[in-house]
Amino acid sequence: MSYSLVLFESSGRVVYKYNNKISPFNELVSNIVNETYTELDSRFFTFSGHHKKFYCYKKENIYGGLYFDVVTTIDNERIRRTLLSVLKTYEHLEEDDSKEISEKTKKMIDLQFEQLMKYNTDKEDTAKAGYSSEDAKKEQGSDAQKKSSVASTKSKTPKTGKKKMRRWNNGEIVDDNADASELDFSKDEELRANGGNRDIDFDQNAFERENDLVLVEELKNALDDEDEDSEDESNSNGGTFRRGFFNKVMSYFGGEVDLNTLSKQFHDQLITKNISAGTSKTILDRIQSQFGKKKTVSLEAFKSALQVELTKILSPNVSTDLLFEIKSKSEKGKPYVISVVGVNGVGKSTNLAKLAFWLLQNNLNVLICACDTFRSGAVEQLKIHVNNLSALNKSSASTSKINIFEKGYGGGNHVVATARSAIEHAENEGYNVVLIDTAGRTHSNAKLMAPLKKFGDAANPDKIIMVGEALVGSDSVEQAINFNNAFGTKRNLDFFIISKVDTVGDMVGTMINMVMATNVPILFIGTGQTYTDIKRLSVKTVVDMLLK
Amino acid sequence: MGFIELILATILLGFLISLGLYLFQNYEHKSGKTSPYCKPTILITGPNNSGKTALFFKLLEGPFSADYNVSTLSSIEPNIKEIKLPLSNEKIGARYQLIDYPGHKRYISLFNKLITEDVTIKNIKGVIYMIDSSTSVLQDEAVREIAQQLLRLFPLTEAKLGGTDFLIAVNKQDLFDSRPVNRIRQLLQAELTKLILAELHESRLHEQDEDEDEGSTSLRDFCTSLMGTSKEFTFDMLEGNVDFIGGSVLRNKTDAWFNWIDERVVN
Ligand SMILES: Nc1nc2c(ncn2[C@@H]2O[C@H](COP(=O)(O)OP(=O)(O)O)[C@@H](O)[C@H]2O)c(=O)[nH]1
Ligand SMILES: Nc1nc2c(ncn2[C@@H]2O[C@H](COP(=O)(O)OP(=O)(O)O)[C@@H](O)[C@H]2O)c(=O)[nH]1
Ligand SMILES: [Mg+2]
Ligand SMILES: [Mg+2]
Repeated sequence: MSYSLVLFESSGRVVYKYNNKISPFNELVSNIVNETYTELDSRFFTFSGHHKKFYCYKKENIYGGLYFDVVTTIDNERIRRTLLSVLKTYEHLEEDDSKEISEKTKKMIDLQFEQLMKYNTDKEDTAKAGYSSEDAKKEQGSDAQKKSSVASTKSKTPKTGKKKMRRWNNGEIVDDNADASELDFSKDEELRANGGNRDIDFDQNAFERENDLVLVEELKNALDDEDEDSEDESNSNGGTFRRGFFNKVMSYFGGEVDLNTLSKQFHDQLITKNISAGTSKTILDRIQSQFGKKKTVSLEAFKSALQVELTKILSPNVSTDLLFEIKSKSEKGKPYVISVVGVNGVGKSTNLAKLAFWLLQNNLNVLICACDTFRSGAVEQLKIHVNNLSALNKSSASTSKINIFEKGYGGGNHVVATARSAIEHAENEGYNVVLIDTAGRTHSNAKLMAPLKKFGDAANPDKIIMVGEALVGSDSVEQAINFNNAFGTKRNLDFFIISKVDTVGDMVGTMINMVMATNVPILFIGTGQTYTDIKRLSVKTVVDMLLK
Repeated sequence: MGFIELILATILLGFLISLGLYLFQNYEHKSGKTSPYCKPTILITGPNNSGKTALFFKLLEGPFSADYNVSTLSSIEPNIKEIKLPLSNEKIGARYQLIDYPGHKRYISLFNKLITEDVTIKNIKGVIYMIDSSTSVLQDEAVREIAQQLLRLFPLTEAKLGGTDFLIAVNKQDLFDSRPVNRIRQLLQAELTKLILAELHESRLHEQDEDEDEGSTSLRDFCTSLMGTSKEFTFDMLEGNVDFIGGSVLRNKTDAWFNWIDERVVN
């Protein structure tokens, strides 16, 4: 079993490490940057990597990260408490911008982490010995207890100091007599689970034990006078130097306005741009939390924070060079398969044709596969596009070819069979790209969505693109989520094409809705009804439109 | 006669109006508050995990101490701090801004905004582009991504008289599988040539706002004027100097880089 704990700044500097296993945490960082984690609360999140599980707590500009490479039996809340308490320990003891963490701080954090790990192994042991149900009950009990008293209570990482029971409460160590019933319960069960063996360890090394006890005592004093709600950001100590670049919103502008007023004002503006109320609230909550306890900020500061946030949301985190990928696959003699999905009438066929035109101009051979075998006239519509494109292509200098692959209409397995034989045909006939058009479907109709999984598995496209129209309002969130989930747990949408952007002016909020809901990037936008009306997304242009 | 005068008057009027508009717009622009980051800058950038942050902290906290070292993970945010340069002469102590910008793809737009709108190109006295030279990292895809990043940067940094100087800091030369500096230069030139030719000959999709925004030159225009008639890209074609220098932050082999920085300051 391998596990580790680090505390690091957003600068990248690691201020504490439990052991030298820090490189796995780069995976954590990239998940933080790309926001691909699961939020447990606004500062605490988790995600599972390859045989690894990560937890992270963010306090101000310092992150506490934890990972296990095995299944852990520790509940989230216990981990959250430990991370928070460790961060508090650090913040309290390392007030200045010193380069090295002191031995003392390191030791105190070590102790807390070991406590947690000990809990993990002990718990496994007791579970094996048949105590599992009892243990589970205990867990539930403690969970219920701290949930009832929201932000203030919470912790209960018991410790044995001076042979006298102490209880950790939100980072503070509370004396045993503070809560007699809790103590009783700690004594018989938790003492066994956590502290029992420790005493034996200590006896083996009496000197070290004395030392640890002094440390714990000091920690108690240290955290005792810390403000209860310092958890809610920006207790003044260290707040300035730890604030990172993106958060250190320029405060020199002056002319401060009430933060809530500003937030409301921008909420209204974002909604007029077609951003859904929920999405707008999430974004603005993030901005507000960046300002910590400040009650007033300047309009410019708020706006520039929002600009950064929107830019980050829209910026793709993957390579966007489709031509290069297609050519690489062609060199291996395989056609590159792209499939479009989406609800009815959003512009799937039209934008597929636009893509085809662009690929033809790059001397790539394109096979269009008609897998909308459901709506009558769909195949004919594609044929018209192919004829047009073919004619256009001949009149240009291009040497590439385009054709349609169709097997008429039909339901069920017909779609999968058509897609498969199209890919095979493409490989035999030297096509570089297969573009698969699919039937439009209502995203809320499970019966219509279910076949997508089968289709995805069978055709296994290199890229699955969802076409969404800029016109749709708050329904875009649902659409994006349902299509993104339609391909099972192992497959997601690769990117969006947002169509009909020419018809909405600067009300381009749909883009934010869809990307926020799924973390899938937008690569292209449709801007009209001719074959050249497809453009790459300009993040800057869209953000400017939203903030205008 | 009257007719010609009328034309001349119209032209003059038109000229005056556009001059007025120009001045007005410029005035607006100038009076807009300048960014706090608009000052002389040494910029460190490059792919993640190449050693940028290690160098950043070393420059600030212990450029000449042999045992100085800092543990790092990928940075979540850029680092910006003031630094007194040149390093070799504390007495001069000119104030510069040192920026360490992480390589996450998600930050590309923000990066562009920072260096063009906030810092502004004229303030960038030098770009330290860091590369991890180990063979295990510097595979085809990494070379390609570096070339792509450079090709995104050059049109911006070349947009001032004399261009901007680059130090390609070939880091981690201490590793047993590190590639030699010259080889890396060749690899990058070859990859950049490929990308530039693709840019010139492929039909690219335009970006949303490109038709309207005529002020900025497109990447294609940049490539055209850069390459002229030649078929192969070399770093000498750029106006700014591009120096490839090997080193290792971990082993304190950074003197040549520090000299490079000092030269940008003295000049
Ligand atoms: N203005 C505009 N209309 C579009 C755009 N994309 C598609 N359309 C129109 O939307 C309608 C539906 O398109 P179609 O491709 O048949 O949708 P499908 O059902 O998703 O395949 C057609 O009339 C298209 O011309 C666009 O980017 N701009
Ligand atoms: N072997 C070796 N490792 C280095 C060297 N410089 C930095 N590193 C390591 O490379 C990793 C990434 O460094 P960091 O500065 O965070 O990279 P950044 O992402 O570019 O900021 C860290 O683990 C450093 O310790 C070097 O010269 N040699
Ligand atoms: Mg259709
Ligand atoms: Mg870094």
